[in-house]
Amino acid sequence: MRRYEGKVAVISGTKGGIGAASARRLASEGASVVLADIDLAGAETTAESIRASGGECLVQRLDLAEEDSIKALIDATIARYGRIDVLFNNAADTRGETMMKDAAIEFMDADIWDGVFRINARGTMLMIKHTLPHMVRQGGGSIINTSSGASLRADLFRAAYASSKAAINTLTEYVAAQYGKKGIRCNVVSPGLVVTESARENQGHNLDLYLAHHLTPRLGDPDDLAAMVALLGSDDGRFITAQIIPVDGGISTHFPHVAETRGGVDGYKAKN
Amino acid sequence: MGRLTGRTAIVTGAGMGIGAATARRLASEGAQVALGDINLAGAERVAADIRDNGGDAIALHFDLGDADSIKKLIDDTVAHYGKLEVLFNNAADTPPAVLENDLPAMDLSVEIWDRTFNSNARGTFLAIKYALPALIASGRGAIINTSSGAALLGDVARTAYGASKAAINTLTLYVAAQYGKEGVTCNVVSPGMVPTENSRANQPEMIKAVLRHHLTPELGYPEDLAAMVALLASDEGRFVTGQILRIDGGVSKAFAHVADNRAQFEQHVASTWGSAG
Repeated sequence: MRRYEGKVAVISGTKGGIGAASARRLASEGASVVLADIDLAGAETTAESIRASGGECLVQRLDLAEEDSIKALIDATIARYGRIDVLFNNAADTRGETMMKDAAIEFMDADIWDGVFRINARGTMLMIKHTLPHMVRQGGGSIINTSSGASLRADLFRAAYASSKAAINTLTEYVAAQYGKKGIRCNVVSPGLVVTESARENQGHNLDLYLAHHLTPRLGDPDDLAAMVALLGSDDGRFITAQIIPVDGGISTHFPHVAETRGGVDGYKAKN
Repeated sequence: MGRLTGRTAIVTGAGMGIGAATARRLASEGAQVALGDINLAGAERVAADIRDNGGDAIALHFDLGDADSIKKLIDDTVAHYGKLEVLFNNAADTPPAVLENDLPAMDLSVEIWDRTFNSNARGTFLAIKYALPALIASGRGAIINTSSGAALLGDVARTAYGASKAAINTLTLYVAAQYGKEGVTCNVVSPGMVPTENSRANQPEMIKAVLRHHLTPELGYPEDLAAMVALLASDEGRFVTGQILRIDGGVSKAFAHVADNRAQFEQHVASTWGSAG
């Protein structure tokens, strides 16, 4: 499919994972892609793979904590390509040192909460804010935000992270309501557990625990998200807006006891 | 090579609208498609059109209210193509005689309630039940059910229709939980207002009244649903299951008063910051 001929996409968090897979996917469908990441060398690696496949892209450093950095990204995109058809807000603060302190709320420093919200919620809002004038001028566009299953169900770790993702879910609905009639759509993709090859090798045992609670035979792959992003960003998604779309192997759609009781049902089926 | 090359799909209610558009889309991506409809002539026309465009399609008579007819559609498709990977349960029992009598609860006859549930809920359950052995055997089965915004939000009429579609939403969760590990995904596509060509041409006032509550500039087209069904039916949808996907222009996601307040909002933005946006 070549749904992106002549279109320009800005994607954040592109050094690997979902962002990199989506950048490669949109480029393979004809888009010019701007790869933003705080890790410039990481984004450059993704860019090289896109160029090697004949795709068009630009790499730009992005620090979501700084509005100037966000403005510079959007300005650089317009200077190079003149328009923005798709904005994929995929970057988030997932640093290990933040994650480990995002735990029991009675012991959480407000600085941890503020830092997570500054990057995930405020940063995403500013990316949208600075992109909207261009999309309004063009008469339309598609904004896609990566949220998380953590915003839909409770967990133990990462309360601040999850709450900041819930803010993104609601922001999505407001952007859709405010700018929909101007032809701008806004949706969320909400991943389940998506693992890269290296994660599969390094955390094999732990991943089995999560896999048991997904309904699918295997955990997610970044390409699974990229496929949905590619639909939402294209004209195939023109009637879809204000949605939170889980691409999560159904982990949020069943009672938590399903994995434990499945054996009993299988036994019943085997006997009958 | 399309995403569905080598796959066999059943589309019910394929004689017109979302079913017809989806049958065309699946065929254009390489699938062999069996089109079931109670209006066989309509399904034949779509199937012939698909074949004229180089696709592989057959049309079969199908009555969602009749268990034997449902079983025959599945069996005949598997007999013809030898296998089955995709089941799109899109048919619903919506003749005017039913819809016009699907009234507010106190006035709704038990006959209309029973008939609606017999077709929409029981019929969809039976199609899934009969298709599951072939879908499991394929190693990558995909079930997609057409529901409705009427299952998510209350309305002044069509009580039985809305409740029967809610049954389909919940059935979807159970099938996803029960057969996911056997490689079968099960999802719902939930349309907003997707008017027929006839309504677009002849009921402009109705279109306008409904459109103002959708967040998009236009109401939906059958092709908008077909695009999502094609993703869900292919390997690209293998990590999507148990979902109610609303392809509804956001009609179910914003407060009802948004349409009434939009002009005031735009005026506020313009007077405070200059031109809106």
